[in-house]
Amino acid sequence: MAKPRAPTSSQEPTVSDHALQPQGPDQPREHAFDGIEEYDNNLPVWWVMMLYLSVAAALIYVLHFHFGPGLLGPPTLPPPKRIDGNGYTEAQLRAFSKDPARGAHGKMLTSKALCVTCHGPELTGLVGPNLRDRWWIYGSNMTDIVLTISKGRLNGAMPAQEKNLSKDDIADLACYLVQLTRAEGFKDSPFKKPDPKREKETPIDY
Amino acid sequence: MTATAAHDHPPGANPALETFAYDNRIVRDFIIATVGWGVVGMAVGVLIASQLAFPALSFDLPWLTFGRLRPLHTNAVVFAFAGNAVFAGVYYSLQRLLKARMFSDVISRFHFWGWQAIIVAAVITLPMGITTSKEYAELEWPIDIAIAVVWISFAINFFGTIWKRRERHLYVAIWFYMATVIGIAMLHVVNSFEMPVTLTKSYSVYAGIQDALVQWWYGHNAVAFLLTTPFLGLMYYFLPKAAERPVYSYRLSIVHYWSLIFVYIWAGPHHLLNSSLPEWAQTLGVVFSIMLIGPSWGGMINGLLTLRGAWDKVRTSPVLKFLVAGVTFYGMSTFEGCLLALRDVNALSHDTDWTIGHVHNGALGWVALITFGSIYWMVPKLYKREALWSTQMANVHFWLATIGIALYAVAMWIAGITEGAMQMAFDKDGHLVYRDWMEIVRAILPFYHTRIAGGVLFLTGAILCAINVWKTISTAPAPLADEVVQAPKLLRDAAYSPLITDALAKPDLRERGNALHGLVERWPSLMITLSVIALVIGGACEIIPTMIQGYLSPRIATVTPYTPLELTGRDLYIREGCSNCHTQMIRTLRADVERYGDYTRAGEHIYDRPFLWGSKRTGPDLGREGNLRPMASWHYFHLERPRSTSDGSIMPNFPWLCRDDMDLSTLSTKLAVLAAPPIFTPYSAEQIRTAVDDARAQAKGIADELRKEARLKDLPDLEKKEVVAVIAYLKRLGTDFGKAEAKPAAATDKAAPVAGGK
Repeated sequence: MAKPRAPTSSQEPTVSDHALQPQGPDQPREHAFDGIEEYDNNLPVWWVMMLYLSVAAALIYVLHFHFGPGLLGPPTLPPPKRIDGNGYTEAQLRAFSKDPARGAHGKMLTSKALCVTCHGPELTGLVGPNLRDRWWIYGSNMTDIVLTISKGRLNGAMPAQEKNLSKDDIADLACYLVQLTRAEGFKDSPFKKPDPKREKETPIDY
Repeated sequence: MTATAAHDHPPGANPALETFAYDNRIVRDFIIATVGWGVVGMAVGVLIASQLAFPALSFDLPWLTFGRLRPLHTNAVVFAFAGNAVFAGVYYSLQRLLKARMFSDVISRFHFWGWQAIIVAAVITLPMGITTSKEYAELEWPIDIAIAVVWISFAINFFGTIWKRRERHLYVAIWFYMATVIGIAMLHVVNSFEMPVTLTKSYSVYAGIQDALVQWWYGHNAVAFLLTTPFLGLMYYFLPKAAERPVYSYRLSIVHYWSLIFVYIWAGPHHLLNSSLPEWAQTLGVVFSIMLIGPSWGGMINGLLTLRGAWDKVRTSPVLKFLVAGVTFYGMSTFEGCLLALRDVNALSHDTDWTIGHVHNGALGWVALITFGSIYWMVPKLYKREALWSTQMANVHFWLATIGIALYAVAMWIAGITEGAMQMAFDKDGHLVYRDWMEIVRAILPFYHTRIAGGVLFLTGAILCAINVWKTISTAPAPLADEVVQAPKLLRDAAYSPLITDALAKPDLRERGNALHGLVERWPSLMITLSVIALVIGGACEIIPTMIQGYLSPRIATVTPYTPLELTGRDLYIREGCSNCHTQMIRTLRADVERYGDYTRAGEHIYDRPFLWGSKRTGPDLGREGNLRPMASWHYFHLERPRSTSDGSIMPNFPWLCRDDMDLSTLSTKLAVLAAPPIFTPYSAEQIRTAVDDARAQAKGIADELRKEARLKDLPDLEKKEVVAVIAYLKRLGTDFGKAEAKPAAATDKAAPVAGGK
């Protein structure tokens, strides 16, 4: 194809033409439409094979999915094995929460984690819920709070912090929130009211 | 064949030569329309591609947002560019293949101006937000009727020309055109059944899953019968013409025509895989997509093998360059289509940019390249020129287009697979790795930039084409002489049975087959009948059982119709085209269920007219948004300025929702239309009468919730704003399912259907 063929040889089939045209000579049909002629060549064998194979594959697909081991029907989700406390147990985390140093460190982290953007400068709630009352949406255990901070909630509306903070940072942040609630004595008013549909009263009793 | 030929000229008859002229003017008009609308449609495409990368480009103007412009882009490219290209090619080749002028010049003119008027109507209404939201069928009901009328006029012209033909047999290109004429008429009519509320608003008579199935039966086969079969017809005319070579195989034409039109119709449900569509329908969609590869590739190889011995001409002829590349892209994108239709591949690819890449491989690679090739062939002949104004410019156009498609396709492949993989990624603890949607958006933004570059190259090529065509036209001789031709009159067959007997008497099986198919080509009414049968079977087998099953399947007791305010919000959601970027279909996949909540059930959508499942997740799924984000204020801030709540979001701002008052003037009528036959939504007469008051009361509740935010406390008339209705709808989404079945007695009382025999 790189060189233009001589007119005499252009009528003779080349090697590549043979590969594409496995059988049958070019037999033009006797009628032409607006000058367009048609050969009556055989169907290429590979194409016919492809047609048959696709029909076979379709049958196998139906058998596999509807009468065989193929996966159909509602998904059965294995419960994810969660390590809720980032490796710490609830008891360990509760022990941490008694440590004022951890709480103080956690307080410093609120600006790095940008908590105030949504929960308000005093963490009394803005777009996000009030963090100083006794109402908790996802449970008031330390592991619950650590999970919420690590993984975020609501598809990123509450952003995950696990890439931003180390696991000890996250534990410290949770300690700060718990210490804050203990010190404030579950203050409700005049801050953002809990949403009764979502927030359950789950006081911190540890 | 000799026996048949003998019947062409029965003894004693000596058909006189008739002199007539081809109608070239109508072809010229359609070509100019094709090129003009093509540039417009592609320019809108480049604009909306840029808006996805740079959301500021919507300039906070309602009519310039992605949700309203994306339907304009698809309609302009599919119906204006490809549609006019099909008409130009059909009007050119049909007359020559049948040796007859078009049936009626008046109908030709009506067809041309009617079609352009429909496109202008689309250009006006879609940016106004007047849309049904059903993809590639967005135009509202008055325009739907206009489309039907214009299409029927085209059909009359088409079949009328066949009736007065001077050629005994129909050439393969005409078979494919015929499938288009019949197929599009059927698809358009069935998919467009809707009940009007006003001139600019209607509700689909199909709801939820039935609407989804009908829509994708339509959507998939609009690709088949507007973007595939007519272009195969154009290929069968222009490729052998430009190559000056006989078509490779008549037998292959026969086999792949019948298998293509029969198989294509069945494959629609592959757009709804892993959804709440019944499994049997999904499987039909998958297996017929697998079987579609052979029929599709039949067209490709018949085109490519036609070039045997003429490949050297591809080097010099821009026409052949475009046609050959087009046919090759056709082969590639049909293979890709089969691949994407497999359940497992689809789990990754569906709702991602891979789909967008796939459709552009077909639209840019196949449709547009065949169109440009045909135009470059026709224009010099129609304007009595030796050649194009600039062959070199056409070559440059070819390379710009090809490189543009390559950039586009590769960018969308990478973006699509990245999106799919990130959405499905789990860490070792069983948590989603990328829960924050913005991480996914940030990962694909570079490919959105690459896509713009590809689109700009392709658009530049189209502009060069426009310049080239315009220059060729402007150098044409002033009065264009008619193209006068002579052909003998065609004598009708006196008796059918001797022809059939002759054909059956052929000794050889192959000759007998050819002779019998020759009769099908000789008697158009037979060919029409067989084509209609082939076209109807697939749709009937899938749609009718779903309609019946939809009524028989158990209802979910807690799913109730939308309240008047939610309905208003839903119509605003449709107006703003939210479903162009947000799906409402949580698939039966672990990743979807982890991210959004329980998978969507068919019974949840029985009041959704039209369905809003969407087909692309540029933003996250909203199927259970009411559970995920019940906070009204978040939605207010997010709709007003998405980047205030979601840093890095590429969603446009919708400030006018917070500025404009809701229009409740037609609300009672809307409820009445929904409650009346044939829709029968259980709204009571009381509910219809008090619809506006109910909406105001619910709006008051949401406004009170919003006023708890310091920033919104003092906003006047907050409860009248459109945003309140949208929030009401978003808060409702997906919440009916799994709700405790509270006070069923009271609910049935209130929800007694008006037209259901109260």
